Amino acid sequence: MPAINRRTNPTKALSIAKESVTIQVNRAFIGDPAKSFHVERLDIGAYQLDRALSISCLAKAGKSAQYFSLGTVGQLDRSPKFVSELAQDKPIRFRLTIFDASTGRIVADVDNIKVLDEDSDVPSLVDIEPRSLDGPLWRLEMSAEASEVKPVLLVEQDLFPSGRAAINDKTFVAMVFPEVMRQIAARVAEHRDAIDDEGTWVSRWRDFFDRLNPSGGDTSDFDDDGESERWVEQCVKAFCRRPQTARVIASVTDEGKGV
Amino acid sequence: MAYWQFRKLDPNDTSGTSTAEDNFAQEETASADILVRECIQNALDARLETEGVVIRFEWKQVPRKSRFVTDLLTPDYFAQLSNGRITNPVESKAEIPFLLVEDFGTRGLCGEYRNSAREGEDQNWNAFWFREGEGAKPTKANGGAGQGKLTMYLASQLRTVVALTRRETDKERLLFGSCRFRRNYVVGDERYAREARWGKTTPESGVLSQPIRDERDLDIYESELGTARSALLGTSFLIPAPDDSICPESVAGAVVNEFYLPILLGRLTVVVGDQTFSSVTITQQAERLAKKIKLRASMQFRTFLKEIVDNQLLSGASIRVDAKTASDTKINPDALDAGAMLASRTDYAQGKIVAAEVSIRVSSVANGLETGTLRVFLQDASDMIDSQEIFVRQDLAVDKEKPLRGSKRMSPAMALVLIDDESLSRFLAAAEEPTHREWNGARPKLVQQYRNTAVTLRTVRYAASRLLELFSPAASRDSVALGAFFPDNVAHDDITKARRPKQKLAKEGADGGGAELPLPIPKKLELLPLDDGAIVKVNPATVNQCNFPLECKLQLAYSVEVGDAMEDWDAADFFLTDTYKHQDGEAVSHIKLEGNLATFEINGPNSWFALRGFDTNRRLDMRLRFSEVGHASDQ
Repeated sequence: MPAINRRTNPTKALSIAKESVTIQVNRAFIGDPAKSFHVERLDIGAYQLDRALSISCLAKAGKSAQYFSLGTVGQLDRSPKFVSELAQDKPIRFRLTIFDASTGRIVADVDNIKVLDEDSDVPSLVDIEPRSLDGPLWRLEMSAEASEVKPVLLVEQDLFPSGRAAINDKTFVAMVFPEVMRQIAARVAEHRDAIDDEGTWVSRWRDFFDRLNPSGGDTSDFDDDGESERWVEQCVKAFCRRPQTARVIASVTDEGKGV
Repeated sequence: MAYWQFRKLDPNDTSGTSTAEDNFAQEETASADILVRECIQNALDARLETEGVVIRFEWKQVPRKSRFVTDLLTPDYFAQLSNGRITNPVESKAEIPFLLVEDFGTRGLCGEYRNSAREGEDQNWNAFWFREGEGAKPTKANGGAGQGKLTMYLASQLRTVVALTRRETDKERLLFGSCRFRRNYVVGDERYAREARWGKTTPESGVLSQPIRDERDLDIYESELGTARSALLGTSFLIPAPDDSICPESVAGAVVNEFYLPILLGRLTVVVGDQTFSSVTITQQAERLAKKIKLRASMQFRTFLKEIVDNQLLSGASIRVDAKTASDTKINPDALDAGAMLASRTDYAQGKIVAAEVSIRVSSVANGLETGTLRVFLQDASDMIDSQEIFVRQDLAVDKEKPLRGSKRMSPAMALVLIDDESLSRFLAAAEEPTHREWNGARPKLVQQYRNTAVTLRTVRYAASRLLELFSPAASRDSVALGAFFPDNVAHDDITKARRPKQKLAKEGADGGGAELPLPIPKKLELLPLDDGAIVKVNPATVNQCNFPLECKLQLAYSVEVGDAMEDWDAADFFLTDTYKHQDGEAVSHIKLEGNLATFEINGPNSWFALRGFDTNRRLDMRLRFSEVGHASDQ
């Protein structure tokens, strides 16, 4: 006997397109099987929602569930949230709810949100390759901006026999990756016209910088070198604030403090 | 008859707290782990050549009025416990809890029991009851620190241990006990020794306490305790008032954590309550336990060990490393067989287990230069966060040694280092801390009995990691390793789209003259949500195809964020017969409301049925099923 299913919507809650949201799932700490997540992207400007509305997130895995508060529409909390109460052997699914905290009324929601999982290999904008460097322990190689060849982080092969071995070294990650970000941002700022040239390695960074740069500054707006230097500095700091980088840096500094 | 001996000290004797107990003050090791390790280790050391070892852990409640408890937990015993500042948790209990740890297939506590001065490898009775810090175990033994019995005292809240043993040498059955206070203690003007003995000897100081041997007494005690000893060789340890942390679950977890490999190898069977851990059941038992407690070895690592036991142990090692090559800081691949190296690298890259035999020089003061061997088994685990490894010396897991894990440069791998060789095992036993969980190159016994200890120990420790450097694939460019830090989301979207199943297009055939696609078959009823409920109507487009009556079932429930709303419906949400108004148009019959389900029949083209009055602040899920009554097929 087939069934017809329907649902009422008496409060006229908006249904947000799930393509508007991306959630990134990570390992909580290097070496820890537990997971954390953060909202990588939330494009809801088109819905013209009140900035004071609250946002909550429901993470579900199998029959387990855990709620998180994510701040407000005007001030989204992007810090990593640790999923400590979910089944670890099931995929995690997310639902966002936007509501009026004073009345509890749901104004908008979105379910089955797209998840980027650290465990499933996301291609990288930067390759990594162990090589004999005859002195320095690492070097960033970047092609001419018109080339499509990605930047590659070269690491001394006697120190790291593979790229993954380098990622496992949190001190290396904490010390080197922000500087990699700096060099790439500086090159992009220097050749900002190339960011619109499809097919170049520089153009592939446009989406990354759109999500990263808190100032929202378009690189084509720079009037002088001072502005571009400030933009580069902002990029580095924003990169260090990204949850994946922040947790590694915190882990290294905590170790240094004996925490 | 049985008696406690509480010995007064000679005025010249020294008092103080035992430092031996500090050896077991491990913050990270629970009591159950230590107890299991020591009990099983001792049993394996005392195993008979012809039999497999079985150890049983059982929790018993023995009536206070039983002969055994009356003879053991006497009023003067409790009085001395109080003098020695040991709390009595069983004071008012009608039944006394005991932990029974019985081993079978072992020799029992052999040796002289009438003379505590007798020493030697065969004097286990004296070594267990009257020695500390010295082991009487033969060189092939796992243990040797002579501190195993301490763990049993620590496991008892009364700091008391009793042992019933059936010995291989003379087949005698002996029962004896001891209580170990924290320190020598004072009663009035008298100082008492911290060890008190329980046996058949009356309480006069200076006379060696003797074990109980009377067969009738022992039969009564065995019957009351429910031991399985009787004529079987081995020892049954009785621990009164076991610590609360030593429960079936913690002991079972400790068994899997500490002795997974020897059980898998069939060298040992352990029974914990009603659970049996044998070579046949250990895999399933571990999987079951892993759902409740965190096991040290992951499922992947346990699978790795099982594969080694099932398929690898009997095969020869593919790589052989001689002693000189093994002692170098980096193994020179040119010193190894080229064909074997190539085959091993290929196997490793394909995710197979690779085995190597490594010779190691051992320089003993007594025996001169010897060559020991160990076996290393490796498997790639680059999908794991960290390497997993274990050293097993004969049957003992030296589990705090983790040099692979500490080497962040290595791509993760799984490693088993197996040391069965006698000369190397003797060396490592001398290097082991009293807990047997790690090696220490400064141990006094090691320094006294061996030379070049640092080189030998280093070679053992780093055998796996040095081999791993040979097997790791040649360095190559990695395009995804940095994806978590510098994600190319555009490329990721492209890959995701490309992975979606492609639409299957029909083959192009002859031009059929523009055939039209058939329209979808409309449902005969419509289910329309309202702000406060639902309405069911006949679909005007299908009126002419309807065969009335249509039997309908309409189920409702407030939406939930987790789970299925219909399954999670609760009468506390609403009950249809209570306050919810149903309305119906013409020709609706057989209306029945129950719980969250409404059944009714639609009998005409203008019929409709509605349920209203639900909370307009909440979403309502609804599900309609219907069929044509009188027709064989459903709608």
